[in-house]
Amino acid sequence: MKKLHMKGFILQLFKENPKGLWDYQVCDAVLDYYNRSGSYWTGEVRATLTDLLSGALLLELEDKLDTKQYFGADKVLVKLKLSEFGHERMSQTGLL
Amino acid sequence: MQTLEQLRESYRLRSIRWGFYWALWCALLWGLWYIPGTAVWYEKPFVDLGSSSTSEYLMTAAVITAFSAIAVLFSLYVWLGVLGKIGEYGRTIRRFRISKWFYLGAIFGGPCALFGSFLAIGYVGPLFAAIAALMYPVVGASLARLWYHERISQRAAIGIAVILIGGICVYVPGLINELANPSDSAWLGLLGGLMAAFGWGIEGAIAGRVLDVSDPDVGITIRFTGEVFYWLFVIMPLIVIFSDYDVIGLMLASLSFWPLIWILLAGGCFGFCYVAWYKSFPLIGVGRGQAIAAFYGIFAVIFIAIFTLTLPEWYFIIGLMLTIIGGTLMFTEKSIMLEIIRNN
Repeated sequence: MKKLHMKGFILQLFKENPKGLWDYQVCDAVLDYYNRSGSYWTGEVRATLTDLLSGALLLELEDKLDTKQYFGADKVLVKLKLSEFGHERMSQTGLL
Repeated sequence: MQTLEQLRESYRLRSIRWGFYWALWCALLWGLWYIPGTAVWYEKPFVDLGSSSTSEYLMTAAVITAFSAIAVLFSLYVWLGVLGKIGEYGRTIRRFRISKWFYLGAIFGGPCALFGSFLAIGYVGPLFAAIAALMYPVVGASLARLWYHERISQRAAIGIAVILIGGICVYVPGLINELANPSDSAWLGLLGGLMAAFGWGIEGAIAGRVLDVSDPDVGITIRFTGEVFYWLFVIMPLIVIFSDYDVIGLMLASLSFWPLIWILLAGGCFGFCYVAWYKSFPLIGVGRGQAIAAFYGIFAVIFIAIFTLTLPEWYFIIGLMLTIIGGTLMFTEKSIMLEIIRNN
């Protein structure tokens, strides 16, 4: 099966998990899907999540401090969910 | 030790700052583009045609723009290769319901805005063209607000206005001379100015919309794929068929060392300027991204002064001060206003 582009895949991931996902969970899923690894790609996924949040396609549910477990000490971990607008944009662009 | 709230705030601020840095980087490269973009007109075969009749000038402009689009696309492919996003380009271009918006943006930003700009230069003058193009953030910000409810605070609106007035201050005294003796075809130049302002404004608004579901580096490459297609397979063949000029001869004559070097340098500047433009939109919105990018008017004067060793006129300082004030007004806006750039 042909793979989706990254923002499309991330949006579908949120669609399949209506209760929301933590950013590190999204990173793991994306890196696994595209067979990637390393901090560059982790940074790319986090930057993409920032884009989606500022565009109001995702909503922030909660945050917590990273204890060096995922992205490093003093990093903020964010839990996000798909917004109604994000759902609408997925439908408009054939991602549903 | 910083609290969670402090770390959260600094992360939020960093993301927004990156949006402004990208837009400023775009302005810098756009200003720098004027050096190779002007130098190419002084090389053979363009130098002989650029100063002849207006129709020959426009044909030359079309050839240079077509070559320039190819050079931009080449530099963007290199960029995607370095970032490891060639696969992402293929995955995105396949999704026509997304990529079609970039092709539409390419019509407005490419043939419409660029050609409009050349019309404005050819039939009125370069300073009029510069001022007309500076108006594009007004079109972009208004469209983004009406179409997808982008948040434009009062402070941001004032910032945009101050930046634009600053840009106009740089060029208005020269414009008065340009408009003193209008030609019979001046209306074509005015139409060209409108095409430039509306073309880039509309392209930005379209990009702001489609980038919410696609990657900026990939998106801009798809947009230029579309533009190269239009020039090579639609516009140039139409010019060859319907004009009396030897366009193919001109294109072949252009394939020599210095014209190609200038076109490649211009393509590199323009390509990365566009990358930065597109990258700023998802982070700070189309209105702010375009307004900060309109600093290019100032950078162009600075780079021309550096490379030609001619000092700008005194009124440049007023323009410079105003653009800095306008930029600072937006840059220092509370991050809470900018964390989410749309009202949905």
